[in-house]
Amino acid sequence: MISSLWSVPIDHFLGLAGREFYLYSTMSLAKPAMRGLLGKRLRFHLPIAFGLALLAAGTFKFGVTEPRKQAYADFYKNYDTTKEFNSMREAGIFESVRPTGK
Amino acid sequence: MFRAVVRLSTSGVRSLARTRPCNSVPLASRCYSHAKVETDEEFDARWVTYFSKPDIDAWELKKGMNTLIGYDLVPEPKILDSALRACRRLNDLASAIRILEAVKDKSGPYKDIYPYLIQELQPTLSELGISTPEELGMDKL
Repeated sequence: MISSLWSVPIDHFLGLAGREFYLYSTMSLAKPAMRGLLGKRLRFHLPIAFGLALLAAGTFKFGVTEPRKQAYADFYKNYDTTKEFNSMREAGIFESVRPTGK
Repeated sequence: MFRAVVRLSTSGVRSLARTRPCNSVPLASRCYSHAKVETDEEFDARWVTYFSKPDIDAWELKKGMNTLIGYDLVPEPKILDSALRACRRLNDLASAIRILEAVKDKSGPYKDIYPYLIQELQPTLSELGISTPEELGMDKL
């Protein structure tokens, strides 16, 4: 049936656009998968997306927030408030208390 | 704990993909609905019948196409043939060409679906005198 098209006058092919003409001169296309394509894509990508998001959250928590909290805790563990207050007082930054001495 | 969350999200995704009647794909999924599962053939036959109504009106055509495009599938050639003939009955060439554009868009990244559909629909397109968007130069921006 396909070979018979070649013997038809040339103006018969004017109704066909480029791609359709090419199809008739080769084997007909096989039927591709047409159902459930989005579902398949989601089943594959969504667990990865959720996993990556949780990984990002976990990395930020243990890479940034926990070290930051630890740094604050370490700073204030042996913080002597009175000593720090007195050195600030001597530096003269307060208005309510003047530095000791003249 | 994270694995449980991932498992939950997977089954949640599966129920998302089931917004249309469960098809006959043999998955180990859990459709808790007691509704009877419709096969692919029944689904196709139902839609062919819908568009084959002799006195279908413009609203029903539009509603049918919009509903059909909402599903997670590219319509079978026989459904599209029925829809194109409905367009012919309604003297609506614009909708006929729009249907072709819609299924091309529905195919998404799967570039082999649209040429296959055009191949299968070629006799209908010739019979009804419907040009494809490519023939009209409408596929380029």
